[in-house]
Amino acid sequence: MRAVFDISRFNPQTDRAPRLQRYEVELPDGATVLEALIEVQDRHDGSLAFRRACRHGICGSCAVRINGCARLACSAQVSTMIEQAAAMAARRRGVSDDQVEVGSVPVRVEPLGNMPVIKDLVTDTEAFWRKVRRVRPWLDPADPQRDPERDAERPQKPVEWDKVAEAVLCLECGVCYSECPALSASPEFIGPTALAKAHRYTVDNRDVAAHSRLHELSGEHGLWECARCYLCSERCPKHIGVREAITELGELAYDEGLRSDPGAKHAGAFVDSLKESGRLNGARLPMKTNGIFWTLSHAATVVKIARAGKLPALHATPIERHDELKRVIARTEADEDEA
Amino acid sequence: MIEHDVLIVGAGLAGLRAAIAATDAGVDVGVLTKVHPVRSHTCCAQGGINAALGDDDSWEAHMFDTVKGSDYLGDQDAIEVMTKDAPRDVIALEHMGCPFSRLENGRIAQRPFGGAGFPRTAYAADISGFVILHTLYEQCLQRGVKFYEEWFVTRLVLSPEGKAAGVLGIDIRNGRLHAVRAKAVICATGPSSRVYEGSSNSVDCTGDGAAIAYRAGLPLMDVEFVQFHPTGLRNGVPVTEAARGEGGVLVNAEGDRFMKKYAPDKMEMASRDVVSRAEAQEIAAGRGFPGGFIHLDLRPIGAERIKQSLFQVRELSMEIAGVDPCEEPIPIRPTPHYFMGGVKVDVHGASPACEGFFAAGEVSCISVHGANRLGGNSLLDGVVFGRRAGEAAAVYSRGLARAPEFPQWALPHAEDEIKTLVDRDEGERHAGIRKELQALMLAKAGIYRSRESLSEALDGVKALKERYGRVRVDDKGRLFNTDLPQTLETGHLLDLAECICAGAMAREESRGSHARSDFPERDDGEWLKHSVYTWTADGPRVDYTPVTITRFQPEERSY
Amino acid sequence: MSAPSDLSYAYYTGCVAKESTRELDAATQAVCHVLGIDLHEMPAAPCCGAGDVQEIAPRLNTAVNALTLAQAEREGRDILTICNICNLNLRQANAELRDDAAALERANRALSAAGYSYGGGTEVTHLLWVLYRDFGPTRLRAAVQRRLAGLKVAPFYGCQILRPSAVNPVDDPDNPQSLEAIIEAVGAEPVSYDGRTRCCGWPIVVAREETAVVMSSQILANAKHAGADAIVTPCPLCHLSLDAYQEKAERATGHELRLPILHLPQLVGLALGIPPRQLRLQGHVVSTRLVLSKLGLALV
Repeated sequence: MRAVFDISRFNPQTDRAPRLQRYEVELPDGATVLEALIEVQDRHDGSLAFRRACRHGICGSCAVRINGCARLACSAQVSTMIEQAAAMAARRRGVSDDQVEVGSVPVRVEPLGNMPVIKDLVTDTEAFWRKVRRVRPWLDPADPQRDPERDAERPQKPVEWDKVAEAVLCLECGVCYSECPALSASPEFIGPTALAKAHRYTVDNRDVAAHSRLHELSGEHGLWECARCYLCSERCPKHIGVREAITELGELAYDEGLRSDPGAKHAGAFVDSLKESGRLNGARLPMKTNGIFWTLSHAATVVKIARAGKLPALHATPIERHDELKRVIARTEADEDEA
Repeated sequence: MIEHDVLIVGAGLAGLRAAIAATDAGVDVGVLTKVHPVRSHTCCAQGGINAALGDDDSWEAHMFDTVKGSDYLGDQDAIEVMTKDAPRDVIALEHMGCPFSRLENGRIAQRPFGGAGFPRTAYAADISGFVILHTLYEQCLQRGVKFYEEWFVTRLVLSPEGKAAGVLGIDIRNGRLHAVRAKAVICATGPSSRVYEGSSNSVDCTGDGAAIAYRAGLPLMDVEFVQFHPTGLRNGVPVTEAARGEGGVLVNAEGDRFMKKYAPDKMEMASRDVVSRAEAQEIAAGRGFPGGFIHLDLRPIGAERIKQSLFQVRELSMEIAGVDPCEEPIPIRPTPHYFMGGVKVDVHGASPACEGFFAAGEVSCISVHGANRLGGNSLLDGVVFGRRAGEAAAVYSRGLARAPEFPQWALPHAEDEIKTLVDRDEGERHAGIRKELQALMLAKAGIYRSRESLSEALDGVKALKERYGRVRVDDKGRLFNTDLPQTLETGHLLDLAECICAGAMAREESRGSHARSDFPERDDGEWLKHSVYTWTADGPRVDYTPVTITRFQPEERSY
Repeated sequence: MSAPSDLSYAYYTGCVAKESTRELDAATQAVCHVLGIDLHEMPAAPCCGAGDVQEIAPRLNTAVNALTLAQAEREGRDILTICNICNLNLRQANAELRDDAAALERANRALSAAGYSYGGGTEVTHLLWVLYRDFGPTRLRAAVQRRLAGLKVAPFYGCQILRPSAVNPVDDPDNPQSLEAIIEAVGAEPVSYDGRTRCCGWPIVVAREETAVVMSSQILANAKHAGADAIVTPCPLCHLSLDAYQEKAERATGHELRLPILHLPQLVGLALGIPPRQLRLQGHVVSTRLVLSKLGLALV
């Protein structure tokens, strides 16, 4: 099959900005985008730089943005990417999919986002790895002096292993990190990869540092800065529920009594609302989350919202049959206390 | 000049395990690696790691299986060390946090593997190497081990007295060639099977450490023994032996479980060389599927177990072969996979020919695998001898007041060589030479070899070497130039290929994974010995050295 | 539950559409009335938890949403939502209750305290999906009274109606088209710009305002730069982020924006000939006058 690619080229020593360079390659059926990149490098242009190793989705080297979406090049079928490129072009041109001939739009390959580019498709991963190291991604056991000559393995039941098994599959490939919009908006945000790594150890029954891990992650650029957009879960090449893992970290942190972060307070306010009226008390939410000074400092916004008739009432009218909900809540909490 | 007590080249499981051991022994460690540590090929190992953990098992039984698996070429004193150390080294991994799959009672689970008389392969689903690699890397992070990531080592440097003095390495990020001095050097650069077309290895497994040691005058051993993994997918990506261990069966185009002809007792769980040859014979006899495949049928295992413990296999089958193993058999074929041979070292990982030089993992040859390696013993080899090499290198380095003399001319000389290479404007690029080499080796020095085929192979390699002498590098820049290191890798492959051909041609017998169609029998009388390769200007000189036999006298080997 | 041709739903407004985005509720009811989509409000249905309750009290979250699902099941109707977050939370809870027998048992134990039991029979859908998939652009085009010709509308999906895609089966999460199809059906011109599937930042706008504003500002700036007269969104929280906080976004980027944000049923409602006041187009922070004047309409 013949395939056309627009590949991002950038040498900061000579170029002011990245540019797309077009390459046309002949590929066998079933070829992946990585095979295409290798073909370009081997036959057309040896100066093209990209990372790769295992070519079957376990080493995490070859993460790039294809048609604007981060993924592993070695698991992207060229034929599928060609179709996607055409469908996206149809959307951009405002026409239906069948109006754009499949194969007429090049497949775009660019480096991952949220990282500086060293050259072409190779990004600088220094900040990425620094954030991973920050969560202390190693086992912190109760008995570090355990001796393999004398002591057996630490016990772990299969159900406990299941918790670790999904989390441990993180390749540290950078796909989730690349796509995270909170990270783009706030470069100091620790990011989904570090949180996924933290989760792997927090839920491992052999690790006893959960509280201190969660305490660190509850800081300014920690787990509460996640915007819950699910892009990380959606794009993860190993189908890890990254956002789901971050959600669980929030739950565990809250359980540990780590509730001083506005994000934690914000969540707590929703539970209060359910108990008080069954619906969100929007007026009290900012106060409960950020306190009186913050709320007062936003007086201008409040006025603007009030003028548009959008100011929530100070007291939320309860939902009908609110005591039905209250009974459900009470029973849930009682059952959980018992467990 | 950068200097460390112990310098480790390679950050796969053997290199990282060595780094941990040396750091814990209190010496200063530096690790050079051409890819980020978690990208190392170790992550591709799926099946598991062997150890006689159970009360019903014993290291002696494990030792026997390994000796027999090696077709009696393995050095039994070394195998005894490995199998005795196995339990504590596997438990040590768990203590470090490695998430092994478990039994209901919370103990480490073990599964059957090829050539083993007992289910002694500890595993983590089918991502065993992956979790071990990540665990070891995280342990290195905890210890603050110094890594030089994306550095390509080009030369082993010896002192005027012939001791290990350090290496030269290119920082790929900026193209600068550095001299790195050390008291001890541990080579742990992993696999070399990219000498062959269709290899299961990662793209960058080019035997760099073996080649640079060889060029520095250190002996290689047994490199003619190349293992073909029986179940590789169409592009070389392997399907773990565990798939057979869990109950998967091999079937030819006539629907026959043909292994009953070749290994009536162990069937699909015979040792890898036996199974690969069986498949090759079935395919050659016209009983293979179109394209030259055999079917691996996992349906007897059951969908639930597959999704639990072989989930990566399932994903890879669906992605690469377009087949869901819960529903259909997977087309596979024998695939170049592992080098039993490598840099010659002893049970401490120390080179007998060069003081201060150590090696561990696949790049080394002690030999614990002899003529054929059992599945599950490679991860074990890396962990046990990675640790031992780290410990030994630490002890050795403490015995030196200062590092051996690093010749002043080494760095400028190498810089000149590289400049000459890069400046060359005419000539072919390395990629075509590499592809031709790989195809040649698969065709002529593959599962079945003959004097004729090897002779052709050797001639072909020499011709390719000659062309390589005039090779051109496309990328003239310094910033993240990957063309230069890849070109140098092809040079390494050529050297190793030359050794394989020479040694395979000389060895006129069939043993383990070395199968001569013109000498189909094992010949202990003449050939119960290791091949040792030493670099000369005219190509490798092949000598021989005896095998250490202690407990188990060589017997007929059948499964 | 309901037959495909019978578009009758339990109408789950969510909290915000009754308070800070009442225009969404008004427009939804007006549009559904015209199109013959039958809505039955759920006055006893609790807040969906907004993803916040899920984060700190997941079992409570499941139980509370199970109550909503059970109420609809008792009425024999599927649920129609008008908010991305309500839609996702109810659908996630529903999936959990259907896939995990232990979770269902736990939830039903709690529901029994209020005399309910959930059997898994309720479907949860969103107004966007009903218009695109069940009602369909063809029928919509036929119902249009006033084609919104010349109006350039930038579709903004937000995240939670696309992702996770396992729970959001209607659109391709990387290349959706439902909003574009509806924009075209009403005669307007969809504007292509970078950011239509990005996150507006609303979930952290209170706890991390600066970060959230940077996120929304890029979306607004890109849409404006691409020539949009307005943005249309199917989520009231995205609406608040892009509309109520637009001035903050202007300050963050240093660009003047003045880009009106329309709720999905407001866009459709204008094309159906519903008067702007009935669609509460006066209830926005960023005035919709520019949109209306382009259509030759006034706020009556």
